Amino acid sequence: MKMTLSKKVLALIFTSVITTVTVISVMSIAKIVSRGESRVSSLREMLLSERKMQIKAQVQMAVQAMEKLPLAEAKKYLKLMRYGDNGYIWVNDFNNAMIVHPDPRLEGKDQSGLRDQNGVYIIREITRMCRENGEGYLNYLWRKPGGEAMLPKLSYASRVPGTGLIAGTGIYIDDIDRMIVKEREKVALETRSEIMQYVLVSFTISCLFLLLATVLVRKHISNPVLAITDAVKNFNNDLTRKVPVTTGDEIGELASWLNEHISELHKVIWMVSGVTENIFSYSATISSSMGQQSDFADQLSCSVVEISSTMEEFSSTASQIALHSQGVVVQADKTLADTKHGASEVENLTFKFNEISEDISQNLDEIVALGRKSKEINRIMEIINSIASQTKMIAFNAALEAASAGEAGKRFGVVAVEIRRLADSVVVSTGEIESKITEILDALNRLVMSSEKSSRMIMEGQEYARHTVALLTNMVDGVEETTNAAHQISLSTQQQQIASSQVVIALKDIEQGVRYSTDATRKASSVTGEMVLLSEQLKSLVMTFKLGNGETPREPGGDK
Amino acid sequence: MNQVFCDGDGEWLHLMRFSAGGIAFCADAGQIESVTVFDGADADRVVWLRDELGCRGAAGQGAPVLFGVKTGAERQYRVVVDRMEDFCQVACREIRPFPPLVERFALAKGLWGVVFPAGRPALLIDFLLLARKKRT
Repeated sequence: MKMTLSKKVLALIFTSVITTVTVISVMSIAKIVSRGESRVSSLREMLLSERKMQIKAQVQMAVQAMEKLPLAEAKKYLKLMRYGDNGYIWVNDFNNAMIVHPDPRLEGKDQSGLRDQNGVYIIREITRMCRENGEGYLNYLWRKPGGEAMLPKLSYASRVPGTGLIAGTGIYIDDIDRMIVKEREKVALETRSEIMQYVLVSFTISCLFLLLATVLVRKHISNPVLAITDAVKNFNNDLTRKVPVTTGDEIGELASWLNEHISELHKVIWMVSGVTENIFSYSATISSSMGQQSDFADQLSCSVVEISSTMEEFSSTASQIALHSQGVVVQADKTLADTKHGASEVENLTFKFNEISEDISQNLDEIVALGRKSKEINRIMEIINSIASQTKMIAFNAALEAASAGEAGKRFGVVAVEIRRLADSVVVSTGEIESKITEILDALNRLVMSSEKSSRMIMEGQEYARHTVALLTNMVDGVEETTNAAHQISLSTQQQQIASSQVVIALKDIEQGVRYSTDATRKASSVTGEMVLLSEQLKSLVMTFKLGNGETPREPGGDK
Repeated sequence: MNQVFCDGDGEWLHLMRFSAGGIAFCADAGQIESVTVFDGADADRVVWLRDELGCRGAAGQGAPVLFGVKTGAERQYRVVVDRMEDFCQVACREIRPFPPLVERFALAKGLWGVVFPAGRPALLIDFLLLARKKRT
């Protein structure tokens, strides 16, 4: 709910006046009521004091009687003693035994258990008061004779000096309460009347006071504040406008200070305009830079991710290379041992080849000599063949002669036939020998060719063996270098594997850092973009101010 | 029975077995005066049997042999054969004449028939007949 300042001031004044009047009224009414209550209480005390004095006087009379009369006469006297409507005297000892009582059934009996409905032991309490103080009053409830209701009763008892007995009496005080009620009603009527008069007077005075306060508040508070409010309401960012100063109090001071602050604001807005322009320019530059930086950070992040992935593959490959290089080292050691063994074996083979070559050379010489001898045999066989052929011709001629001689040459013919047969046999034998020698020569030729071929092949084998020895010797050196290189490669690949693992870890850290940097750059870019928007909004806001004399805040992009 | 070589069926004939132009021949040893190895001397005065008979077969191994034939004239008829084989005996009844159809043509070449010395066939040639035809 909207409340004006005058209403609030008036409400404050009203509240203060009403509160003050109410407090004063309540206090006055309380005082009036208290005075009435005091009056009722005084009446009750007075009435009660009268009853106490009445019963105390009766008991003192009984005590005097017991002091002056013999105990038996005193008992009779006290037993018959009455006052008021149904007042009587009782006597008991300090053992709570009833000595004298109008009801003879109670006499001589212990009354320590006698108590009212609230639990007050009547005789026991009275005995205690008399033992301690010599006398005392006791309030309790008791049934009035001829009635059913329990009514308040006041008893008084006093020690009878020199007897060890206690004399006491009681009186119903229910009539005092009835009188008090009547008195209270009377006091209440008087109090109401008095309060009504008081309230009426207070209300009238309050209304007059509030009317006066309203007039004063409007004149000195509401109207000046409304004037200031009107000026501020129609301010419309016009820094040339002045708030009217109509009073010399705090409101007038407020208007003066408003004018002062508007003037200061005029200066500040002029300065803010320039600063805003610079902020806009710088924000745009920063935003552009942040955008470029964000793009670069994205590219850097992608590159780092690619490098990280590549390095992971490189690390994996390095692990495999390290594993394989270890296998290469083992194989290189084995190859070195095998190569040395192979070189030794080839050297032995070369020695064997030399021995075989020498043997073949000797065999070849012997075979050539044998072939030469076989050719000599062939020439001999040709001579033998020629002789056999001539012998055969002679045998033929001899046979012709024998045939011409007839019977006489018959035996000569037989000899000729035998000679011819021998010649034929020689020819056949020499032919066979020639054939065999030819076969031998062919075999020798083949053997020579084969031996020569074998010799050439052995020489070639020797040459190959020498080359092989040289190659194996070089190979041993190379394999030793290879083995050393394989060891170095294995160590290097292991170091490379460790280094690549460390590079992968470092790249992951860099990747994380680049990611954080990218996020931060994006956030910064977003913030700078918002700064640009805010600076634009700020410029728009500054442009809304009017500075007077044709002055307006500088446009964005103007001179700094 | 051949009247030229044999007087009766029970008579034995001494034959020289030789080859010329790849064909085996036999000749009466009585017609041959000498047997020598032909060394090429007087080549224009000798007759090569293979050329004479027109045999064009292979000569075979061995040195050519020169037969000196008894013709009774001053000038000796000298025949060269490719190779000398053997000296053998054949009964006259074992000479097999040619069939009548080819006998005229065979006699024109001096051939009388076929003999089988040592079970192998050979043509029986008459050097004297051949020498006479040469002269005429």
